[in-house]
Amino acid sequence: MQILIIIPAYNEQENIERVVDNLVENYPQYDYLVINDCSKDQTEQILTRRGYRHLSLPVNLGIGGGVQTGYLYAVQHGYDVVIQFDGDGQHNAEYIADLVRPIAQGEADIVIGSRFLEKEGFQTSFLRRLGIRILKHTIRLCSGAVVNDATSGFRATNRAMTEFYAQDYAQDYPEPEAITAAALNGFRIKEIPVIMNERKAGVSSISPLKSVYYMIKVNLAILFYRVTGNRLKKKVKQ
Amino acid sequence: MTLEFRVWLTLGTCFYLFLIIFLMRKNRMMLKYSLIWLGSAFIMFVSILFPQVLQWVCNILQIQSLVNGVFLLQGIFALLILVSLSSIVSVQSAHIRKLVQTQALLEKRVRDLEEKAAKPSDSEEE
Repeated sequence: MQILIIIPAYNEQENIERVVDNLVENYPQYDYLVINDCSKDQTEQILTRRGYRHLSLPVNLGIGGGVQTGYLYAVQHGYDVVIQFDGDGQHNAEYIADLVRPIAQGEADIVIGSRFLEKEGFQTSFLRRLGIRILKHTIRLCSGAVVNDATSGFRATNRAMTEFYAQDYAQDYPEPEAITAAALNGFRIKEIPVIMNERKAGVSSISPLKSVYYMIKVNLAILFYRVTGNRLKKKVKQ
Repeated sequence: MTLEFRVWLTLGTCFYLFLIIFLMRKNRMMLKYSLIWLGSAFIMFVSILFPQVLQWVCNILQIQSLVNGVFLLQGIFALLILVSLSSIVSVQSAHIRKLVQTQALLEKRVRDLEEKAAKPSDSEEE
């Protein structure tokens, strides 16, 4: 089973070496690809100097466009499973095997690493948890899927799901909308417990002020997806 | 609607039409994006030449003055054009994203091929 880890990175000069070195040293069985989303800092230079496998977007597309590029790469190279893995060091690679297992056993099309199933490790701030809870209910109302950690960017997809996302992936703050799209198009979603770390360096892309915009935009996007009935699965299968 | 107002409106619409045609001739506006502008100019001309049409619309909408009807028409056109621009921007944004992704994937492929091509020559040198 060929597994690709896609690591979207934007201004991650302080984290990217640690993240990739850990994967290269401890998990050589997995292929990885860093997607440098037109970083303004030294990320590109580090990736080139260290000879990391990477892809550089000439224009900043945001997390959605970056991750989708990874899915496109995976489709082009025929990977069986794609793992989305943050470049800021919040995700633990030791859980990759757990993410892949339900896919290998044919139980799920997308597996999401959740911080809130066993409530261990870094749990994020109260306000963010509240926001995530609201998103959980919006997603359940609109798609029927129950996902406790809808904003988790630690997820694995099988080939069909990867092909779907390569064609259609939400762009701004994509994770909750991507879950809704998966559920409404009949893909099977599974959550597994993982422990995440606090970001060690750098700044999160969602500032307190942006989180208000985030909540409005993401909730609207989920509702809109539900209302428009944007179904792509059949198209992808064809 | 007074005769003077109709004359000024005709001149304004002619200038507006001239500007659109000028931009199209200079290839600075594509025909498909100019249709809504041309359509609005056409309706303005109809309103000027046949004010009874506009009068009929004003009666339906309970607008007392024809001049207000003209303003309403312009507002509707402006909104339509803005919505169409938002739609065009969204489509182009998706196109740009696709181009950027394709370019990055190609760049990676070229880099990989270059590395692969460079490897045998390195061993030959050794």
